[in-house]
Amino acid sequence: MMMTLFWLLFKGEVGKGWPVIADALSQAAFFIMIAVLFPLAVGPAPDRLAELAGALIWIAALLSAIPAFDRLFIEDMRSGWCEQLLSYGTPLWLYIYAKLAGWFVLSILPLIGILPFLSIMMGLSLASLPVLALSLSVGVFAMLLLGGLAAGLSMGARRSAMLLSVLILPLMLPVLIFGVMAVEASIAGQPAWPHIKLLLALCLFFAVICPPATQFALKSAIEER
Amino acid sequence: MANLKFDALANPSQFARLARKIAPICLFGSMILFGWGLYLALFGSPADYQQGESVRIMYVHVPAAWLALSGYLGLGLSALFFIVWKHQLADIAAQAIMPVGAGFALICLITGSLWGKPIWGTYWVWDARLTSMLVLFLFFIGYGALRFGFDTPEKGAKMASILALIGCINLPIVKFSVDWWHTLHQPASILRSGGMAIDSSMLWPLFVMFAAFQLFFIWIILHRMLWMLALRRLERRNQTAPAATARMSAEQ
Amino acid sequence: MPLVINRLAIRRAGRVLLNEMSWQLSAGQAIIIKGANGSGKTSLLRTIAGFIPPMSGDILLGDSRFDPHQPNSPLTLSYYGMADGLGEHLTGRDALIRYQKFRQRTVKQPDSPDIDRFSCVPFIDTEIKQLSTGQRQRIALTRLCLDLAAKEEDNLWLLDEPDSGLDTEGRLALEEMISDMLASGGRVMIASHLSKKMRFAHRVLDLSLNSKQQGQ
Repeated sequence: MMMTLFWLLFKGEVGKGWPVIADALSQAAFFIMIAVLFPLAVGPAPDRLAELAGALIWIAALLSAIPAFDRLFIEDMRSGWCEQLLSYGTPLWLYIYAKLAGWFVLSILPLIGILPFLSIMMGLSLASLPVLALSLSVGVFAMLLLGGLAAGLSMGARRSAMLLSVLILPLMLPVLIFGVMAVEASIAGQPAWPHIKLLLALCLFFAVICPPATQFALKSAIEER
Repeated sequence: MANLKFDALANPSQFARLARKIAPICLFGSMILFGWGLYLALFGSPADYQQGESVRIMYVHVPAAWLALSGYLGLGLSALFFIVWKHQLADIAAQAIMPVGAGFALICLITGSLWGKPIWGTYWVWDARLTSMLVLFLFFIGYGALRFGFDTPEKGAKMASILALIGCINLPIVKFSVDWWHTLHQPASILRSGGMAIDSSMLWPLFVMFAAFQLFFIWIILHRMLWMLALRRLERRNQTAPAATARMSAEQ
Repeated sequence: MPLVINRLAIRRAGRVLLNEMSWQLSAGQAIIIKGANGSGKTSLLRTIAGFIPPMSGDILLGDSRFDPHQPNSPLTLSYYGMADGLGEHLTGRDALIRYQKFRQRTVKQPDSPDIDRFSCVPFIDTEIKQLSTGQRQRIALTRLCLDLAAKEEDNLWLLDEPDSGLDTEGRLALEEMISDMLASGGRVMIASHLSKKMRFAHRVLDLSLNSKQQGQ
């Protein structure tokens, strides 16, 4: 029964049609922009590019997601949808999972689709692509969990975008570090599994503590309206 | 630390009475210890054979680091009490700690940077401890920004408390990740994570300075809490709204 | 089982809006909440709906605490408020169908006259964000009609100014809908500051700010 509710919520998030697709595409465009600007700024030396590639991909993924974090819950809160969900007896953490899952699916697919082209542009071997994609996927999901929490906390504040950025940095640091290490290991041809396992553990940990905390934040926001 | 024993001091007026008695003792004690500690630190202890006189910054840097960390844990604990028991004193305690903890984190960063210049040649290195302290500082700032970023302080209080809790949970993870990153990226490091071996002749002045700073910290927190309690009482007194009277009619 | 409100006190922004009032709401009963703007009508409804914790007092259903958000609550809560919670990107029809799915009911199309009491069929297949405020309001009210069709549930309706902005026809339909809900054993609390009398039996809860003012 939870699963049918989750599916209903998930379909609601993903099936909004053009608006969500446009959001995902603009996030992908931002990602590409950062990934292309960087080599232009750094200079074409292939060794240096390959060295920095892992960090670059991760920073690009994080920065391109930030504008969407800000808008994550605000529309549903303002329209009264969250209150309606509460009155239907739907747990808000389920709604949060569905929302994050929907966003993950919509945003990770273009990212992974762009990866082959990025790898070529930065001189990475195509053999490292699968591990790259895997570590990026796991890390991005952890990022979304934390970003959702930051979004729930800062929603409704004055200058919420700035507040969000201040909150995100210390929260994301471990994910960023382990993610970049996983990517760099796979680029260098070394076993990335230990890093990916750490990323998975981190992701699972945040998947357990973030949605209830975010639910608490949303309920507090509803209280204060 | 006295500011953690809230179950015993649940009543605000009782707390205020106790705090007013303890605070001057703390201030007095810390002033004495500071005097003694500074004498020991500057004159009564030897310079390091490797670093010379600049090692004396340690007597400020290390206590500041400890206070920043324990301050954040105190913040997290107060936040927990506030969320679970909705206790006003817990919220006041958290608010009191935030700028002080942030200040000590900043002192730790600045003294760490000043200490590092003669040793490493630069004002900043991304070593595990300094980076973790920077993240801690950001967590403090995040708490303050959330707290006061809303239109009314009540809105921000709950959100900031959640952040404080998540921050406490996250802190060991951050420390671990920065440690690991550091060891993988910088194999040769002058400042190993264990720190330098501290000679026993430096331990005693360090303890005295520790105690001095700790008492000073407690005094500041108690002082701020008393001030905030008084402010809130004043606000409440000014809000004499007419009591609502409602009536339920009969069935019509 | 009566819904027992026991010494409920509500405080918002430092002001006490309700000071330890008790009342009961049994099946088939209605209460109209009257009061000036800002007197706490919305806050009272939101407190009973479980969005705001009360300052003190409790709400009981039978012997146990009433938790309006529990998944299989004995009372089905429907909250109608300023923010209608209709999905912007859905059509009215889809929003109403989605509502029934969330309530886990068999889906009925909103075309039949006993559901479409507010004449929404002309614009029911337009995207909600293109509708006027009045049209959105009527779709949100039609959502309540779907509760009427679900006979097995015990309903609690908390309506915040459902009549504001409605024309005479709409008001008539609203009163009929509420009467039908009461007749089938539902409970209704309505906040309203329009003074026209409603046609169904009800009590009036008057929230006044001034202790000198007598309510009726």
